[in-house]
Amino acid sequence: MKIQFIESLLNKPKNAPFLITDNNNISYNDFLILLSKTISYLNNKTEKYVFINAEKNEYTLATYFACFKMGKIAAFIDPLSKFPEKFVDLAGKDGLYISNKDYKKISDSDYVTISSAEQLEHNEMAEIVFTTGTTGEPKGVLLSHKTILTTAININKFTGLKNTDIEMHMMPISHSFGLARIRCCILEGCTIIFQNGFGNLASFFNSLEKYNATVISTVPAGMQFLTKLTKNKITDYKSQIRIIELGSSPMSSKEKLLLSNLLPETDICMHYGLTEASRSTFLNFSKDVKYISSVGKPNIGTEISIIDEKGNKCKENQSGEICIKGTNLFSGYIFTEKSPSYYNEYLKTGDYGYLNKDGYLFFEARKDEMMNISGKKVSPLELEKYMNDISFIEDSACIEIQNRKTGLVEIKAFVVLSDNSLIDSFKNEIKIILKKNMEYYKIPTTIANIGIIPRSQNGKILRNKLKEVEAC
Amino acid sequence: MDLLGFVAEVFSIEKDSINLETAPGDFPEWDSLGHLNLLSSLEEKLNISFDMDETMSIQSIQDLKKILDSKCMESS
Repeated sequence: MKIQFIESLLNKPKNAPFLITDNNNISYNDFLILLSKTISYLNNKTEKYVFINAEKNEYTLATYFACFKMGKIAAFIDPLSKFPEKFVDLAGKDGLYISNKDYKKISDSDYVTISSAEQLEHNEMAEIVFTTGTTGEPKGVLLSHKTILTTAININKFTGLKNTDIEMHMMPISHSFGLARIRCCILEGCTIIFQNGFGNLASFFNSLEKYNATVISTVPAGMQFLTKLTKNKITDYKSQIRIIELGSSPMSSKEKLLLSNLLPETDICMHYGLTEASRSTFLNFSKDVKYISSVGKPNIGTEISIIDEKGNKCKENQSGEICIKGTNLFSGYIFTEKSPSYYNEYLKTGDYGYLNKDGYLFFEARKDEMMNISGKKVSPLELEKYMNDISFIEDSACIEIQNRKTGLVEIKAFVVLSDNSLIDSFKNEIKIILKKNMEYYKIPTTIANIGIIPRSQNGKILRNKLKEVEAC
Repeated sequence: MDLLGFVAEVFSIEKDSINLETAPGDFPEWDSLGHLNLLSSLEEKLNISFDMDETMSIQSIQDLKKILDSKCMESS
């Protein structure tokens, strides 16, 4: 089987720029040399699953594509993960962990010219992307080579990515969206500029200007942050930026229109999808302005059906569960007993919405209670479990709130204290304790003391009640 | 104002783990959202506001300190 992404790497002019990081400018040829050395390094490793610490650099990408070539299955682990071994252990003896400790050995490995894109050992499965399950446990989503290739082709068709494009890549590559952008760029032969979010605004604008970047891929919170802090500076580049792809979390119509007005010459494309069904719909803010509050229409190769509680297909404008069929579907879960639910050939997503007469999908709600913090999924159950383990907390509950000052979504925790003498210091205490067990973005931004957590008769937390309390 | 202490408190990290050279992105908590929270917390505490050029120029806590110093000079 030929790996089209490696074929694209081989076909690009040798000196064409491939990757720009803080420390390095790497050409396509430099990358092919590193890819060859990585293949040599992995050649004597027998493990089938390669777990890669997803730092944003050339070694990480080389390991990823080396797996493709060798018929191994790649899996990225969030570099912020407190316990990477819990992922690697999922594969038992078949799991290999690659991190910055291996970089020197990779650099010192043999270089052998890569002459073809054919797989060295046949494997239809390409990679595992981990998502957060409802209780916070990692859930492995298995993706085939066919799925990731077809999806990348279809994304590029919608967005109109060209081989002359230069992309500001702002997201982590352990997440489905960030990783898919890499594949899209390589397939087309673009240049990628790695940025670690918008924390360093000067660096963002310097790179945008210096490299004449034409594409930005980020979560909605990134663009909100950019426009809030730098006012309308982005409009200085309105003729330069051809494409923005947004995804992973919702965005209001008001925010979409605001961005569209700031950048009228840019194709701002936003997708809706799951790791299990990547880029199921696409919305172009200017071309689809009539239905700007929707999440767009099904992308090429994807069909959507809305199913009611009795399992019947819904009519136009009738709400039900969003079910997806198409070339973008995953191949199943791995390292978990959980199995996906289907309606005929359609994957049941657990999301709710409706289709209108013109085929636009309107997203209404998630079935589960997962929180979405700047595109990162956080399980309230996981957070509450760790909070309830704290000795001075009797009960707790978490909700998403919108910060009134920044406009961004963050986590608020309500706690019932067993020791009221801690009333002045409990917030910091809780944060410090939680940090020992959880990634920083899962830590509540605000924590409030409450007399009792509202619960239903069967003990379920009534989060809407807490949201009402918050709104008051 | 104990700026390092304030930054440490906003990000819920140990004060000893940062210094004036510390820059956005040097630790995970100082991401886009963290940056926005830091600036808005400073604006609220000191009753000031950062303009775009100031926001853009912050590449370390030292830069932030210089901006705050100049703002305090303006208001005194």
